Amino acid sequence: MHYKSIDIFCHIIDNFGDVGIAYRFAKEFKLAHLSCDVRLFVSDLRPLKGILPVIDSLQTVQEHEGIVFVDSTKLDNILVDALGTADVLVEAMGCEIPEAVMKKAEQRDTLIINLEYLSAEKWIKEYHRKPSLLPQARLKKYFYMPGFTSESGGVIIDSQVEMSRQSLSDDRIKHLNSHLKNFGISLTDTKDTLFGSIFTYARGFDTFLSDIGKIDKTIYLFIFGQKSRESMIQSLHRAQAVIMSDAHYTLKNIQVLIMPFLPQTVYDQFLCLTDFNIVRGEDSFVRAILSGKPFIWNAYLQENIYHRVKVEAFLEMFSNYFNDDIAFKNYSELLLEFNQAAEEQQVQTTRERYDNFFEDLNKINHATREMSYFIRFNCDLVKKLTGFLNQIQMEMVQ
Amino acid sequence: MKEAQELRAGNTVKIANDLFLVQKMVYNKGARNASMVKLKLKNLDTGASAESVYKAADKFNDIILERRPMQYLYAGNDQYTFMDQETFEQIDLNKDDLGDTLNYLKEQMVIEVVRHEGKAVGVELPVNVELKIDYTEPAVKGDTSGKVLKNAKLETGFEIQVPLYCTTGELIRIDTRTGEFVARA
Repeated sequence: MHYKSIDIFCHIIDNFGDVGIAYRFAKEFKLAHLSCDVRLFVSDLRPLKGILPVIDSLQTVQEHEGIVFVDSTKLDNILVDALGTADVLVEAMGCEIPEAVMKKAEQRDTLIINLEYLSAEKWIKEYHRKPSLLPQARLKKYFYMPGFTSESGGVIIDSQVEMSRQSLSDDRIKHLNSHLKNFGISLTDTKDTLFGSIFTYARGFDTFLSDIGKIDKTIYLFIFGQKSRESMIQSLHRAQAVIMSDAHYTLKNIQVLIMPFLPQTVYDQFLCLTDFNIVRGEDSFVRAILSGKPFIWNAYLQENIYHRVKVEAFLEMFSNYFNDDIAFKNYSELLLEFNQAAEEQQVQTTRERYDNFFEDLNKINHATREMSYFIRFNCDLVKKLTGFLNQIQMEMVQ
Repeated sequence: MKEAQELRAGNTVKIANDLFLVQKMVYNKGARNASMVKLKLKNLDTGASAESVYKAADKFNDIILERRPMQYLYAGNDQYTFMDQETFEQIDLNKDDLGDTLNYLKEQMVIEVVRHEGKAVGVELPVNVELKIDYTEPAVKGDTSGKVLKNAKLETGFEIQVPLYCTTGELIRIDTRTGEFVARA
């Protein structure tokens, strides 16, 4: 690749999603281009510390894993002059690049990539790799649209998870026990047992607990994140669950385990160990698909329940991977109802039922695995972006 | 300054030292309540048109060019003829010059023709226009909220979404910025 340096900008709106994606992108881009200088500018280092514990959230500039991390709230003209600007600037999730950086960047030939949020909607191809004409003569800007098709920008494939995939499958019990031991649990086999992870926005789990309570298996639910934890505890209280400890509840055949915050790669690997995952937003949604395990997606809530449009677009695309029309219909109904809430509440406001999801678990597993294969082999964002950067460079030379 | 999402066909913007006429604007809602727009822009000096994409909140220097009220007379061979309301001078514009405004343009309509260096380069519609519904499925009794929508083909051939209570032949008011139904006329 011709470009020698890349600056990635991330403005944190809420939670861990945006910074998680930006860090993952920085990490994979660096691995793919070891000679390229990669810097990640973040508007708040504290959420990043949760994902990458080695981060010192009070330090303005620091380097880990070959990536330079910069607290972008400290950027003034003096610091920008000292740091300079890279050949390529990336607006992660469509964020704004700080003004001081833009002023510096326009003094040299600079390529700007607006790396947008992921979407399964068809219109994204109208924006993907399209120019955005700017008034500054030396700045060239393009939109880059992540997605699930060959025509889109793809998704970030985590190379560490890919490398550990076989071991996660072969030594599943060992890996699961490494998490279960914190709750004093050790398993010798996984017969008649289901493992599920939950990481959602605030919502009710009343119908979920009621429906999985009818399954003739022991179910281990691993709960991630504050919103899932608080919501689940509310639902457990309503169902009169037994409190074993602050982090362990029991309800009939269900063991509910409240998990600590896990580093990014460990969480990604965890999703490959379970039988199903309930995930939210963008990044954990993509990881759930890549894990190849059945999943339920809690889309980021938008005004006027617009997130349903996003869910419908995903379902239209996901339908291509199902062999069974009835299983897909059942799954669609569940996903649409699951995303019917207009706002986050810790009470049950939606009417989804989960019986069919668990009955169809193998069919959904097949569809997710097929999609995972397709994405891993055809939709690697870093590879596709590299190809695009090379193409731009060729066009500029010509 | 105008945001990209406020631009519409007929607007003129300045990017660097060039003037561009907006010929077409498409709005798409992205994730996390963020949106983006795709513009078809015509460089008024070179005459070249190109697509450019923006975040919905990207800012533009909008330029007010000279404009005159003119009446749309007729179309033929991809040329659209307008007549100055005062001088009766007739000018022709082509399909690309008119862009999205064709969706709402009907004969006898008086609109603003945008001129640059004495030459007509595009048109700008009023915010609201009144058009007849050429065809829509029969009205449904019961839903009067206006929240449930159905397709309707307008007399210009353009399709929009209208409330279930609207009927074929009815005159309705449309917001030309968004292409949305406003009210019965």
